Amino acid sequence: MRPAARRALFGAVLAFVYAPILVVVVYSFNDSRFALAWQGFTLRWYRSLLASAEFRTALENTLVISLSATLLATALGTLLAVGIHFLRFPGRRALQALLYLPVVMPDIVMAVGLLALYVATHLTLGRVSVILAHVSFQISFVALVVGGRLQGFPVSLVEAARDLGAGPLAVLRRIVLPVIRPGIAAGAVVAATLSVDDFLITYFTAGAGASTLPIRIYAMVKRGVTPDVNALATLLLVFTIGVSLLALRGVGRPNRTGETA
Amino acid sequence: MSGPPLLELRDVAKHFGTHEAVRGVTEAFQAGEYVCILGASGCGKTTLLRLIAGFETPSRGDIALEGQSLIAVPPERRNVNLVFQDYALFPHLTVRANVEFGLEMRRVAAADRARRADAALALVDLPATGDRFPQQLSGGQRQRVAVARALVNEPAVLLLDEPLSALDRGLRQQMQAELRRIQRNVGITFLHVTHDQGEALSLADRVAVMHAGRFVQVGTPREIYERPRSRLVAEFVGASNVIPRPRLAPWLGPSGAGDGVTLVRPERIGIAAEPMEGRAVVGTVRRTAYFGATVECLVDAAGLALVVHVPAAAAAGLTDGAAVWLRIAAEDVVALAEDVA
Amino acid sequence: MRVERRGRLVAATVGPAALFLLVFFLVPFAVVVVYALSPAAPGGGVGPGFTLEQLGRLWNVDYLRIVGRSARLAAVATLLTLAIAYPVAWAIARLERRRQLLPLLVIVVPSWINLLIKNYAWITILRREGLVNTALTGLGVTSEPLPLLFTEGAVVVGLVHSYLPFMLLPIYAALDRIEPALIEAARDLGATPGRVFRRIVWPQSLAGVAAGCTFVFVLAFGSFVTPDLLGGARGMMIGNLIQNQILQVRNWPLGAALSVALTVVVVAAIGGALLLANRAQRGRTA
Ligand SMILES: Nc1ncnc2c1ncn2[C@@H]1O[C@H](COP(=O)(O)OP(=O)(O)OP(=O)(O)O)[C@@H](O)[C@H]1O
Ligand SMILES: [Mg+2]
Repeated sequence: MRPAARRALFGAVLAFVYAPILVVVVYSFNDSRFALAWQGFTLRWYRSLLASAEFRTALENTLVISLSATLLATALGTLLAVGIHFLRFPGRRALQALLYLPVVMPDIVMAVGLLALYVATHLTLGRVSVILAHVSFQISFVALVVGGRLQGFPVSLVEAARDLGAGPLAVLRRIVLPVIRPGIAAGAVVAATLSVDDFLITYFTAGAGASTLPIRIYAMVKRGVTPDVNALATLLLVFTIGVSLLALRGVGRPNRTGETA
Repeated sequence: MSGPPLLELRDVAKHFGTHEAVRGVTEAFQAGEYVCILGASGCGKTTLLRLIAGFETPSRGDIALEGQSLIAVPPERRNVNLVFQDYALFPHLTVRANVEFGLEMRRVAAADRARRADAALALVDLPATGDRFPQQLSGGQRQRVAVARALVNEPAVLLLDEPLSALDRGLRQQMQAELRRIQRNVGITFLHVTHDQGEALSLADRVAVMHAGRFVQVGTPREIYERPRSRLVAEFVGASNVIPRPRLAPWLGPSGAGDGVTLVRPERIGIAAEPMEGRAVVGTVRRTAYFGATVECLVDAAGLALVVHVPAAAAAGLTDGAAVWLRIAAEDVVALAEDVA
Repeated sequence: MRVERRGRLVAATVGPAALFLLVFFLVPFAVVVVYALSPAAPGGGVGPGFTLEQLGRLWNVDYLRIVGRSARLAAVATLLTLAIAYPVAWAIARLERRRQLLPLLVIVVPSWINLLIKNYAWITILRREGLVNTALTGLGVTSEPLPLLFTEGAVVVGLVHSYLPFMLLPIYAALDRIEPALIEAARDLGATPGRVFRRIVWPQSLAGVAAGCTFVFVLAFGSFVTPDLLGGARGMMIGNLIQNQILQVRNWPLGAALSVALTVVVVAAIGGALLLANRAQRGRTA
């Protein structure tokens, strides 16, 4: 491909991908409720957003839900990956295959299933039901990321630790977890962004009380295009891109022992 | 050596599926011995060490340490330690933390740990590296850390799986001397696996030659080298001339000849560029190779192609195509048993 | 004794997550399947008994039209995404390695942006008072604003925009593995650029193309947000129909039956792609 053609191609795709998003960001600073024309720079949409009780509740819900769900999913997913990697047991292959299902299952189907379960068991919809729902799709991602990190883990390290007198728990705590910590962190970040971003499953399982930021956005968008949606969208955008970039740097960076992560 | 054995293997076997990696090893090891297990790649050396360390369960037989069977004891509770071929140093721990790891697992108090770790690092000649991470060490230094990490626990037996194979030649020879010195110093039984015959002969009190999952001969380096029991051992340890006995008649006379296969070591064959007295046979030098201290000559004589080693200083006149006289004494001819498959 | 110990270790590591996935992933799906085979209760919800009635109702013309639209829009979106992603992936893969990182990052970043935001962005552009219509009327190209939003076209644009990275990355990964020497060798042997592409590049990128197409088709076919925000009533897809049946009509059995149908299509698409990939793999090693 000639450089000129390549530049034109990159430019066109870049415009297609980023222009719409840029419009949202730019209009979140436009000092007019309706006009498309630029009326001057303002932060008032952000101020009114931050002042709104609904936004604060949604933010609080999002933080509580994604933190709890991520902690739980990271613990469960890491243990799962470690068990699958180091132990041989009946059903291991099936379990490995099962891990991919929540990744490929359409959100709407998981949402319907979880709601059906909650209704059938009379579980009150709220933060708890959403946390459980998020964990159910996060576990897979954590286990797959951590499992990837374990691929290169030398079995001889485990054997060396046992040879030196470490029981299973000590091997896990002192050798395996510290060595794969970058992988656990990466898995946790993936899980957290999935939780913060999730709309559909939360929408089905949250009930009235536990609306999150994506649910706020959805409700506002359904009511029409307003500058505060732009502001909220911009905030969420900055947050997820920021966290993901940080995570990417963390994964690519050599850890303190000088070995590339 | 006498006294009750420290470590005893009784008919130990291990198969993986249909493949028999170890096929019934019976041997006793005494306290304070340095034993090298010598064998070609794939003969089951690593498997044997892993059986003793507890990472594999024997399919048959028993392993006893100080009279107690180890079969039901998990690796973390066996009083033996393993130096891994790739060292398996914990990358996230400093050298000191690596060395202290085993003591920590045995709940030794911190002050005691530090003292013993210092002593172990001094023993392997590695003071003042304690705060570094394994990645910041050279190959030889890592090797020493691995030895210190195992020795600091004062195991009854130290198992070493090809500990020097990752080092280059010069360093390997230096570390051989170091290992021997350390072993003398601590008096712990070393079981050292290697496929390098020079290493085995120079280091060990006893050498066990392993082939296809069995010990085919166990003895002092001198016994193994000078009195190999079979052709297999003879050819594995050192350069060999393996000759059917009847073909030696030109040297030994019809009475000295008989049945079977014999071994004559290349340095045991007398060679001269002039006629010698006694029963010397004339031959032709086909090829010579210079090795510094010795010269290797390939000589055609009496229908045999013989390898002969001569000290370089005595090799004058041994040029390609030259006529030479060879002498073989009856006491240098070793009878070999036929190998069992 | 050793075996018993191992059993405890397995229970302690794998047990909690396996139990969790059983209760909160497998059981919910089983409930959906059971509901799909149950009659609808008059007041909404599920009645007792077993029936194939709901599965039969899936063949209703209105539903079939929605399922057909889902397949059509997902297929069109997949092909368009492929048409955009392939040349871009090729252009990136032919760059020097250290110059590939920035374009790759630029492509990956949008996949971290919330789907709602990406789709909402297109509303601001496509609606009656949006950027495109304002520009068109302002320039006098049209006198009336065009109906751009709430069309199938808007849905396709939204899907392509949302899922482009999922097509681009696997294709890039496949193209990146092709040895440059292979292409040079083909040129050296007299192949024109067109033939090099057909005979060398395209066959070796097929696995990436298949993976990308599977990702995009599966995501698009089961989507809810994009058709909901950009398609309206005229762009309704199967995900919207399910949501509508469950949350508005409260016809659980029908919603469940539709969910099962959606799952079957998704699993079939993925299974088919895996099968093809396996066969291609074997064809290469054989
Ligand atoms: N876990 C295992 N499963 C199946 N076969 C094995 C296993 N471990 C070892 N083997 C086989 O057993 C035989 C002996 O292996 P072992 O590692 O003990 O050889 P070795 O003498 O240490 O060789 P090397 O000098 O190459 O290290 C080999 O044929 C090997 O393939
Ligand atoms: Mg080995």
